[in-house]
Amino acid sequence: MKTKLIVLVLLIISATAFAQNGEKTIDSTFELLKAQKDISYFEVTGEMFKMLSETKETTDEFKDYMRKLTGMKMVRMYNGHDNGAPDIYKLFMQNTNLKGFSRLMTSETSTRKISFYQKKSKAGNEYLLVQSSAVIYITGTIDLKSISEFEQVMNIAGSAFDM
Amino acid sequence: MAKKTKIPEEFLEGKLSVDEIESGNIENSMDEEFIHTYRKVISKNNEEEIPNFNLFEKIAFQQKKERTNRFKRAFSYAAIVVALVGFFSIFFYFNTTRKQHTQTVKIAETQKEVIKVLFLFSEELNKTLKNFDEATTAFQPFSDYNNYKIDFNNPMKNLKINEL
Repeated sequence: MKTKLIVLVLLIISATAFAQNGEKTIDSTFELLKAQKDISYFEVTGEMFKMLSETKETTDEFKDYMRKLTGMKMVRMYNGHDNGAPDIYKLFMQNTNLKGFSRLMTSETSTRKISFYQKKSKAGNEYLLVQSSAVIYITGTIDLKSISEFEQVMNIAGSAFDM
Repeated sequence: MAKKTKIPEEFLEGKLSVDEIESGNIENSMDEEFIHTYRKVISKNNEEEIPNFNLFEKIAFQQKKERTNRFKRAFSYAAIVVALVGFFSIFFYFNTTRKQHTQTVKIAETQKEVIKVLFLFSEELNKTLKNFDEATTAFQPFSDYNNYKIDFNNPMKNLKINEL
């Protein structure tokens, strides 16, 4: 009886530990990352994107981008990765359940690691960029090609946005 | 001795006016004196100012004063109301303008942040894609180069570099 009880307790502990490892939703992991040291957090809701798409002082192209977005979250380290701050990549991967997401690319060097994830659904697409110093989560009807083209668009129109 | 006159009696009875007495024969100095005195009294009476006494003057004055006071009071109330309304209008106007300005600034800041995030995502994506392209090209087997056309009639192929 005693042995059974010990086994049961061990099973529960292992199950809990397993649940803590990679079982959190993206939102919960963001909450966890927000609480870390030297982290800045930025979030934009669908309502805000709607408002941004209606502002007058922007280009039509930018408005199109804003219309296609429904959410954005970003955590970023502001003092680099060397001051004893946690590795965001590791922390994110250990805690998040990425079921349904497909990994697009991973690039790894001795100093940095970066992965791109994508989840497609009828409601909209979800994109994840996980890096050692930042995690970006974008949702909306936007496609990956449009996101990749954003850099070029901004390089051309950058001066209009004072960047 | 002067003859006693009857003019005053007739005058008092209304049978004679002063003008009639004057136009008639003045028989003695008494008549003359009477007329003279009468004229003097009349002219003096005419000269004297008749006091302008109005029984309702005080009431009318008080009413006028009351009316003026009422108007003054109403005017001061109206002025206070107008001043308050004006003050609140200005306050609300500035408050609304300030709020709108703050909102515009916040929107502009959010817009910049969104651009930065999208730019970062796009930049990293393109960088990784470039690395991926380079890696796949570098490790591509030669048999995969089917699409590359080699021009065997290239006029440059027999050219010797030393002869140039």
